[in-house]
Amino acid sequence: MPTLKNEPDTCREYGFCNCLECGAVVKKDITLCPRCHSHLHSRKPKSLQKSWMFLITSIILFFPANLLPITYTRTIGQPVQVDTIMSSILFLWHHGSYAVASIIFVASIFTPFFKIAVLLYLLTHPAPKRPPVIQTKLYRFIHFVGRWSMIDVFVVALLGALVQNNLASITPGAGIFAFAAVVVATMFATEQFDIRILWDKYRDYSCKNQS
Amino acid sequence: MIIHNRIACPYCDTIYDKKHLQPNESLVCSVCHTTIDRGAADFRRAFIFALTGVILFVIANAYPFITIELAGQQTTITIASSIDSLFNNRLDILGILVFFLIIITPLWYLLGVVWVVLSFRFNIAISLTRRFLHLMTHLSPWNMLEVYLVGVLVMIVKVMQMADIHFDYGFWAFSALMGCSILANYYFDLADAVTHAYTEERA
Ligand SMILES: [Zn+2]
Repeated sequence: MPTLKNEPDTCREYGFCNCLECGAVVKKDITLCPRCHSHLHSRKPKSLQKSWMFLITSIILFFPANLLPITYTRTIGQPVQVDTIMSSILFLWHHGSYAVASIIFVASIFTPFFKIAVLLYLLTHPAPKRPPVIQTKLYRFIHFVGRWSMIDVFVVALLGALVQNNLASITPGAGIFAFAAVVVATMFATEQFDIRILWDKYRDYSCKNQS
Repeated sequence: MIIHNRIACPYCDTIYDKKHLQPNESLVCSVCHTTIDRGAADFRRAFIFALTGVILFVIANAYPFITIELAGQQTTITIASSIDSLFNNRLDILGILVFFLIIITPLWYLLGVVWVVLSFRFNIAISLTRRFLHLMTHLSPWNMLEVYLVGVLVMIVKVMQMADIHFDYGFWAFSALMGCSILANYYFDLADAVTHAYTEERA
């Protein structure tokens, strides 16, 4: 625990700036990194506003993504089968493909939901009273799993191309577009968020309590 | 202006003294437990896997990918035609996105590794290499080769009940490509490469 320390232990306290592009530690009084010429910011600029913007977008799109059809299956002599993400998972489950149904459930429903929940939590609790180690771990985790949500988009694209003849055909629906937008928006929201803000707030808090 | 002997944790801003890591050593932030410097980069191996990956990439895209037989009719797709179907169904933006995620980014990334290692080895065009590296850092979350392969496997399970599936050369090349890409990513540490690109000049 970095308590009761006389020496500062962060870049910010030294008046330094960590260039996230090239990893240089730079004195803060300049705007361009002398090493890689990218713009220097002690913290990602307007990170909370940008994160909120992408997060709200993804929450709004979350509904059409789950309610609109992702595929229309036409088979000769049968009515058109309309599938949403959830109904395609249930279909696989009822046909005994438990493993695949679970994979799609985790990738398409649980992961986006979990990402949105974690981002909401981080954005609404920006001033932790204990070291935000778990928050940092959660943040790094959603950063890592983000792209795996795209599985269903690829599945639908492949199905649409493969099942295309006069007996049966599968057509992608608008739901898959909304779904891809949710995944992209949550990825942007994650990238815009700066977890160091939580550490700043925590350090300010523990400083105040010491004196 | 640059404080050369210091390194900072990008997640919690804690500052550390920079020291040269021995093999199998890594720098872990003691405050937030993030691995700042993995010290595992092996550029030579990364180069071999990336170059193999580029060749497999060309094969995977040039040959048919999968054929299905549905009620006596055969349909063969390539990776490109699976993207094309999105355009045909008026999901153009989605088509562009998928094209970007499984063609542009992975290829750019593999070529990037090849270029960066060559440039380090022969000390050419280091400043261009740095540009490349920054772009690769931003693109790395959008490299979705592995995700695509899982998508292919899921799709196969879905179609299995109604049709016969044949894997073509493109599919096997793609599977091998994914292995190469994972290994190239493992041995090519972006953070290490960035550090390398900027310290060579001073040495
Ligand atoms: Zn840290």
